Amino acid sequence: MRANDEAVIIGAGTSPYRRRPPDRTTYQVLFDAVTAALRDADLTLADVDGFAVSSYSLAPDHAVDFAWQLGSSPRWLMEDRLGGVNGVTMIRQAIRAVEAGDASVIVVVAGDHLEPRDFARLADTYTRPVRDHLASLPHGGFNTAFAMLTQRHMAEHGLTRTDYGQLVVAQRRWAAGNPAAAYRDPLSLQQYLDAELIADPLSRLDCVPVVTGADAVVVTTRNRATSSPAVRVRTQTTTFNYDNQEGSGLSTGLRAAAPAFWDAAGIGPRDADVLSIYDDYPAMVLVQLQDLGYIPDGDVARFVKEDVVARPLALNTSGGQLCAGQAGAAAGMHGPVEIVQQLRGRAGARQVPGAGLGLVAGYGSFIYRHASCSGAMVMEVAP
Amino acid sequence: MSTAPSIEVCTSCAAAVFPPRLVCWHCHATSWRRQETPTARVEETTVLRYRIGAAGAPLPVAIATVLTDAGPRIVVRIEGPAEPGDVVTLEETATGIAAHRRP
Repeated sequence: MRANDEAVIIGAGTSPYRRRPPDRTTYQVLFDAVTAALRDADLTLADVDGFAVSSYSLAPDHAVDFAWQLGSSPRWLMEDRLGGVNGVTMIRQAIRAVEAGDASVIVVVAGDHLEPRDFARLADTYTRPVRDHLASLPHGGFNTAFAMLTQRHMAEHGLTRTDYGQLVVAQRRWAAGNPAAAYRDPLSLQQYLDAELIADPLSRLDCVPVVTGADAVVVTTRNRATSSPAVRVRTQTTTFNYDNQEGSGLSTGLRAAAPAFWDAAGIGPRDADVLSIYDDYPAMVLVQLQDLGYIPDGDVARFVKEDVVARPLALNTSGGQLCAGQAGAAAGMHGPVEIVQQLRGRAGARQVPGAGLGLVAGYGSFIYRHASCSGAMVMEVAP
Repeated sequence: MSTAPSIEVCTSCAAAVFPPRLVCWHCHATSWRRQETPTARVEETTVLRYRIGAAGAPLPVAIATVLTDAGPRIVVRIEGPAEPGDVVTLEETATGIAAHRRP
């Protein structure tokens, strides 16, 4: 492949995350993110000949209905239902399609507008095991499962709520610099510890807030790149159904994938300048970071204190979903969009100076006791 | 007479699973027999105190992960007091699998 045919990301945009915004619809927030990403790429809807879309609340519509709503007649279209890993999977597919010549400009978009009752219905019918064996208990929209996973994590590593609280407080400090985040006010550790419990030991501040919003990126070939700097995916990996739901959930598919992933990236964990690690619950951030090799001594409490609180790691600089919010299927695109904005120097008050290499980790698709899909990407400013 | 829940046992390799699935993850066979699992040991418990979009739902509800005598870990509703380590009796109900501490 000639360098000019290489696929790159040249724009990113969001429909800012909001708690119960008036008069928003799924199509509006998806379109807002598409428009913002195209503006960032200095392109228009007329330039787009491919879409990848993921949205739970699009139903009963599908990707082609999305194209119809936008008055677009693309030659490449896909829909993804892999949850928190959909950023890695859709961007990978878009890169392949552009490099194969199946499309020239693809917008990858994910987002949702879910009313509380819509979210409850989605959470109770998410999979057959959930619908048939958990919903009627009830299970509280995955919160009970991750409450028990968090208890296992605390027991295995000798952690307290304070350790998770320090992570959440650190992310809230980053959120202050993100105008698209739903929760930006400063948060103290005491406020974290005093928050009302949802499912012991998880409080309101440990469970991603349900918000309305969307995230998008634009993928095209380098020779068409209208906006710079371009961002390329240096390497990526995905794993699905890594443990048949037989394990504790205290590791993900990333643990086995990590050595080959870092080899392919040609860097080590500490070389990434900025990290977006999927954060539906604080424990899962630490589980993935451990899988990816960030906690080689296994001392998770020390890691939180020295690497997160003291901030040598630029971790979840958008505030993460725990502060920015979780806009349904946007969950998997939240990390990639933040990393693209950081690498393009467009992250405003939260910009990590000189960020040249970024890491994304995604985790999603709950089956019965924990989620089943993992993915990671190293992204870089295209040389 | 209450009904004990059932798990699935692979007729080829005896792997026990819950929830049911098509193919055995261990040996890839596709034939299962059902086995009742009347008792289990509690591993973790949590209390669900709030549910989004479910105003008026009866809360709090105690939920547990239990290790069944038949093998699989399953998620159940605890009725009455039960702590990690307790042995519980399992019962299939109209609202999922419930567990009661064994007297």
